[in-house]
Amino acid sequence: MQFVPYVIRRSNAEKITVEITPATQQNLAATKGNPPWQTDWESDYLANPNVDKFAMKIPNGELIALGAYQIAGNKAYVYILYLESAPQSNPTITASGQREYYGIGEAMIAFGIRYSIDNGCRGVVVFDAKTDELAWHYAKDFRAKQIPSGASGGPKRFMLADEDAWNLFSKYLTEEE
Amino acid sequence: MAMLDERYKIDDLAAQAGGYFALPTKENMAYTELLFDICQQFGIRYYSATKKERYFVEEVTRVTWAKQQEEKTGIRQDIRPAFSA
Repeated sequence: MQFVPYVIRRSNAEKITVEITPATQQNLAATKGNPPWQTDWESDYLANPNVDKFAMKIPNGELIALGAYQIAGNKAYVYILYLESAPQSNPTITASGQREYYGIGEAMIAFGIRYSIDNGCRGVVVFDAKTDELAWHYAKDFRAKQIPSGASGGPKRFMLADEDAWNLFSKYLTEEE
Repeated sequence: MAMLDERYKIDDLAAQAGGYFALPTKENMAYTELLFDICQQFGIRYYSATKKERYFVEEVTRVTWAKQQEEKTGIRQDIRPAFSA
């Protein structure tokens, strides 16, 4: 069995297998291209050596997303700090107004679960929803459980573990041919 | 795509919001670390805990956090006693 993450090409619903590897300096610098990404991936916050950055690429090597992960809580969980898709997959940035790939968020969360397992965190991941609408979907579609964050009125914090992590992860687990 | 999988809606929402997740502050992350420490201390696994167990560790975390902030800043806080709501 292998973890085989994929995204869906919008135009024909084709499954495109992606590679998720540590982000290179070149990948991070590419976020300042034209059109630029929405986040400064070379900021002090994300440049912290404790923050592990990964790049999602399609088979031709094109960068389609970046994710930032941090092992936290004395290795009890992995914090998914940030995740952004490339401008070509962002209809608010592309000229066509249509995204090229779907499934980027789910695949990068699944990668976070694997990263958590690889680092002795038993597949537990924690993340803060950017908006209440996203929070609603994390809870409903992925069955993530809201946990207290200590900040009233701030972003809603979620944990994904156990059978809910398995349910999300299992769709990317395929038998070797 | 004729019918978009519900689970892919987060991609569109994240594009509008400028990302899927909000970057937490260091201090804000420390709250969750404290919650996990307290869960471990009492042998409670938060994710599979009962409602009562969750309430217990959340209250211990809330009060412990507030006391720690009080010590750190030297500013007295109006801390609601544990299990008094």
